[in-house]
Amino acid sequence: MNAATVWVTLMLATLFSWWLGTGHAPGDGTSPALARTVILAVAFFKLWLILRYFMHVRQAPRGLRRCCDGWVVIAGGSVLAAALWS
Amino acid sequence: MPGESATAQTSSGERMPGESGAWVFFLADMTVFALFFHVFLYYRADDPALSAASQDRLNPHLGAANTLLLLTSSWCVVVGMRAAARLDASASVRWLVGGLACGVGFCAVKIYEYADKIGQGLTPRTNEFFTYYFVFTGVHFLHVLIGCGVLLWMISQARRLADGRRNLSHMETGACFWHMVDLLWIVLFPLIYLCP
Repeated sequence: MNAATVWVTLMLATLFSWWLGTGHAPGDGTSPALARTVILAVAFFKLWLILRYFMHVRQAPRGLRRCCDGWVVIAGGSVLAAALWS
Repeated sequence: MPGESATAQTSSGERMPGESGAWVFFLADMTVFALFFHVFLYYRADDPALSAASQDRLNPHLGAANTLLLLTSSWCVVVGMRAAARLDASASVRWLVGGLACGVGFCAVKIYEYADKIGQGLTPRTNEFFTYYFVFTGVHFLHVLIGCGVLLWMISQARRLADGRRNLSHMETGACFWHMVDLLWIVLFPLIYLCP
């Protein structure tokens, strides 16, 4: 993926989160916990794209790649779990 | 050598983005913010009614505009660094100035937002939600101000590319710092402004 494609993806993902978070969740019965988790999952996906393509971690030595991927899994996973069950 | 890459590339094609020591700081800073995210979620769960009522006083459109500004700024910095690696000083300066302009735009929106909130009588002492709002976004705002200084320094370095003087590894570290500032806001914005 080139930088312009990543940038467009990030912009569209932001607009989706903004749309979802400003009262446009599909159906009246959407659980707030589910909407919260989806919005934060999109945020961590964007964060991973920035690390990988803007900060060039995908070309980095294996140690740094593992540290960054590990950070995303631990921080993202724990935040999503807290959002879902809070 | 003209066209020399920012940092050494290994035979396997791996390349350290910026200086390795800086990554210790980046990951530590990101971990501090991850703790902020948990503190905020814990508080929300503790008092969801007050938290929802307080969140309604925020303007998510300004938060979204600021996210788009930071993302665009990051993209400009990526393109500017690519130009720097080609030793194309004028293109590099142009894109980095674009990145800085978006960063300054973020600051302007944030200052307007803080002034608006304080004008409405909403301060860090109003309730716990606004304490966290001002502290977490304030710490991030401090990162943006430092990042704008880093971008100014990168622009001065990019100008020197025309004389054959380059400091690409340091410039790349500065670019990574700016992307990290973007990355932290990417989670702070939905967490504080959008999450129901």
